[in-house]
Amino acid sequence: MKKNIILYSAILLGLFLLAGCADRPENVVKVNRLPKLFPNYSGVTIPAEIAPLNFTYSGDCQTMDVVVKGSKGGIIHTNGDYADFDVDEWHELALQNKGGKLIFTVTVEKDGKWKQYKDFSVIVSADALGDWGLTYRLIPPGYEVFGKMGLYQRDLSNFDQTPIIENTAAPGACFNCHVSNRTNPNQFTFHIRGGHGATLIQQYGKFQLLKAKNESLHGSMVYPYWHPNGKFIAYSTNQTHQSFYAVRSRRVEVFDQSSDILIYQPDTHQIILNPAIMTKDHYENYPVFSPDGKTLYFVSSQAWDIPAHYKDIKYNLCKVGFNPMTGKTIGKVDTIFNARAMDKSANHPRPSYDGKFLLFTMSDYGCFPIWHKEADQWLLDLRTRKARPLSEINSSNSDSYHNWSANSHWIVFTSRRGNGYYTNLYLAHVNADGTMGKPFLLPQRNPWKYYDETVNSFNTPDFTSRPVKMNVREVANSIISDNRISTRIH
Amino acid sequence: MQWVVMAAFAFIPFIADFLSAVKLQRVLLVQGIQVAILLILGYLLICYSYNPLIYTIIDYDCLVRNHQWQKILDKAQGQNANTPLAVSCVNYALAMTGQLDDHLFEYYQNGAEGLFPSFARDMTSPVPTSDIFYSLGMINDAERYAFEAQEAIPNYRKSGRLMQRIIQCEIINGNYKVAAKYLRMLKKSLFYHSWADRQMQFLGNERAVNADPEYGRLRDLRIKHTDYLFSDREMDQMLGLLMIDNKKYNNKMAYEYLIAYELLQKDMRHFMEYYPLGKYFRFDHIPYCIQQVLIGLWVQEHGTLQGMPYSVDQQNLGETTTFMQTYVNNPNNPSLRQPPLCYNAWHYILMVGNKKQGKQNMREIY
Repeated sequence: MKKNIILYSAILLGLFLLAGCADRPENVVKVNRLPKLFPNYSGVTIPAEIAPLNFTYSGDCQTMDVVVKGSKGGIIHTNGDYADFDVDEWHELALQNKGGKLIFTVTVEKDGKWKQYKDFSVIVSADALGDWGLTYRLIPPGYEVFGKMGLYQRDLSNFDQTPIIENTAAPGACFNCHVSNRTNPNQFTFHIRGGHGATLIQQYGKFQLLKAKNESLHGSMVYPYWHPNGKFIAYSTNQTHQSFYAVRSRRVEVFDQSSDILIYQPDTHQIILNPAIMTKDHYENYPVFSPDGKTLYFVSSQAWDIPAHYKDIKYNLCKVGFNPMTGKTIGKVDTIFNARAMDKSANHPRPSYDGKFLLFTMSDYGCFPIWHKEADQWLLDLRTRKARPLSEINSSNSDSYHNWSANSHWIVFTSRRGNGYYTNLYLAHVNADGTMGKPFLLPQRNPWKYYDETVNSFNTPDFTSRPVKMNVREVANSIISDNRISTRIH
Repeated sequence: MQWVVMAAFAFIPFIADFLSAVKLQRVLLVQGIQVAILLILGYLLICYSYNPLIYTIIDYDCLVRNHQWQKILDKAQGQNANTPLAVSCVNYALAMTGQLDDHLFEYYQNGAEGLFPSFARDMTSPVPTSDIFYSLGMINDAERYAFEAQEAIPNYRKSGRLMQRIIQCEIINGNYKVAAKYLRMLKKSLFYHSWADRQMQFLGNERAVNADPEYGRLRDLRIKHTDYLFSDREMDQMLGLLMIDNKKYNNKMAYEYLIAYELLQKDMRHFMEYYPLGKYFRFDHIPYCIQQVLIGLWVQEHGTLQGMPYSVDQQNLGETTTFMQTYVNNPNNPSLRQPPLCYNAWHYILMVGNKKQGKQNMREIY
C-alpha cells in the first residue's frame, strides 16, 4: 500500500515536471523586424500598476519565449503558447522601472526552428494610475434586442472582472449610462431602460429608484454627471430613437427628437429646471460639471426636423455658469468650441479633473458617434481654448466614449479599431501638455482568445477608485417591483 | 400538466403496492391494463402538448430554410396559411418561383404585413423575414433581423444558422474581420464547421466573393449609392430605392414585391406610378395581377374594353370583367367569394378589409 502511494506520487510528480517543461530557444536565428503580436503593445505607455501585458504571436508557431528586461533593472521570462506573465513578477518589474522602459525579446519556435525578432519596448509612466480599476457595460453590438448584458468592473492590476449588475438578475432590463462621482463609487447612478425603466442613484450604500420619466419632461433621465459636491446630478432628458442604414458602410443611427438638461437633487428628489439649458430651438445634451463645480459644460445643436434632417444635427461645445448652492445656472450660454463651423459635431465632453482639458468626440453629425466610423477623440485646452484632434491615439475607425482617471493622467476610451464592429477599451497616458502616449488595449489573461471569442462590446467605460458595491438582489427586486420614487419639479 | 405529474407521484406508490399484492395469474392482465393506460395517457399528453400553430411556423420556417418553394405553395393550398409568418413565407415562395405578381391573390393575404411581417422580439419570426430581405438584396436589414433573432434566444446562446446568415451578410458587405471572427466560432461547431471552412476562402478575397453566384449577385443588388435610413412602414420607398440604385435594373424580385406591396396596400396611385417600371425586367407577359388591375381600371374609366392598350390574356380579361359586372350588380353575390372570382385582384381590393399600414412611429430608446 505504502509502496503504491510512493509510486503514484512519483509518477504524478514526474508528469507535473514534464508538463512544466516547455521548449527553450536554441540555435536561434535573429530576424531584423518586429514580431506580429496581438495586441501590439510596441511603444505604448502604461502605468506601473497595470495588469501584465500578455500577448499572442499572430503567426504560426509552436512555442513562444519572451524575456522582459527593465531599463532600470529586473528581468522576467515566460514560455508557452502565448506570453503569460506571472502577475506578481510583472508588477515587481513594472514598479522597479517606473519612469523607464520594459524591453521585450520575443523568440518563437516553428517546426523546431527558433526565430528571434527585433526587441520592442513599452514605456512605464512615472505617473501612477491612481484608480483601482474600470467600470463598463458589456453588451452585444446589436440593434434593438439585447440578450445577456450588464455593468461590470475590472481590477486593472490583474484580470479579474466581476459583474456590478447583470440583466439576468432583472430580466428584460437594460443598464446603461452609469457614472460615479469623480471615480468615487460611493455615489453612483445609472439608467435602466426596458419594461422596468428607472433611474438608480446609489449613495453610500443606499439606493433609490426614480421613475424613468417625469410627466412634465420630454423623456427619461439619461446621460448623467455628478456635481463634485455630490448634491446634484445633471441629467440630459432625451427622446431618443434609432434607425438603420441601407448602405453597407453604416449600420445604425441614433438621434434625439428632443433633449434638454435638468439638475436633480437626490436628497429632495427635486428637479431643478433652468431655461438656459432647456431651449425649444436647440437640443442640449451630455451635461458635465467643471471640477470646481462652477461651470456646466454641455453640447448643443440647433433643433432640426428628425429624421429628415438627421445629417444637419451638429453639436457645439457650450458652457454656462452654475451655482453649487442652488442648482441654478448663472448667466448666458457661451459656445466654447464651434464644431458646426467646421461642419462637424462635438459630443461626449469630459473635463479633466485637474481642470486643464476637455476631452470630446468629433464626428460628422449627430449625437451618437459610437456608430460613426469617422468619429475621433479631440482635446480642448481650457486655458487656451484651442482644440486639436488626438491623432496620436485616433484610428481610422470609430473612437468615441471616454473618461479620465481621478488624477487626470490617464484616459480610457472605446474604439472599434480591432475589427470595425466590436468596441474595445483602450487606455492612454496624458502628458502635462495634453499630448498622449500610444494607447494600449485593455490587457486580458489570454488576449487573443478573449477578444476573438467575446460576443460583447465594451461601452461607457469609466475609472473607479475602488470596487462598486451593490446589493444586487435587493436592487434587482426593486427594479422588478416597479416601486419608484416620483421626482418633483422645483 | 403539473397536476397530472403531481397526481402520478401521489398514485404510483399505491399502484405499485397494489400490483405487488396481485397474484401471479393476474399479472399478465394487470400488465396489459398498465400498457393500455400508458398508451392512453401518452396519447393525451401528446394531444395536450401539441400546438399546431407552433408546428406550422416551424414547418414553414424549415421549408423556407431548405428552399422548398413548391412544398410551401402546396402546403398553403392544402391548409390555409393565415398567420403573418406563414403568409410571408407563401409570398416569398411565390416570389422565388417568379409568380408573386401572377398568383398573389390565389392565397390568403393580410395586407403588406404578408410581405414584410412587423418586427417581433422573438427568435422565430424575424428569421424568414431576414431571408426575404437577403434574397431581395437588402443585406443590412437581413443581417439586422438575424442578429435580433439571435439576441432574442432566451438562454443567451447563439444559433449556428443565424450566425451563418450574419457571416454571409458580413462577407457581402466586405467586413471580413468580423466575418472571420464569427467563422472561427462556427468552425468549432459540430454541424457548421465544414461550411465555415469553405467560407474562409472568401475572407479578403474580393474576386472570389464577386465570382460566387450568390454573393456576387447580392453584391450587385444591394444598395451601393444611395444613403438613406430604413423605414419598415415605407417599404415601397425602400424597394423603389433598392431597384433604382442598381443601375443594371435587374432586381426583378424587388419589382414584384413593390407591385405586390402597392396592391396589398390598395394604393392605386402608387401602383399606376410604379407598374410601368416592369418594362426593365423582361417579363414574358404582364403579370396577371397587374393585368387584372389594369383591365378593371380601364373599364371603370371608359366603360368599355375598346381601345385598351394593354397586352392582356383572354382568361384575365374574362374573369375581371365578370367580376366587375357581378360586383356592380350585387356585391354580395356568393360567386364573388368563390374561385375563380375570389382569386381576382379586384376581390382583394374591393372586398377584403385590411387596414392600410400607416407610417410607423419610430421606436423610442429612452
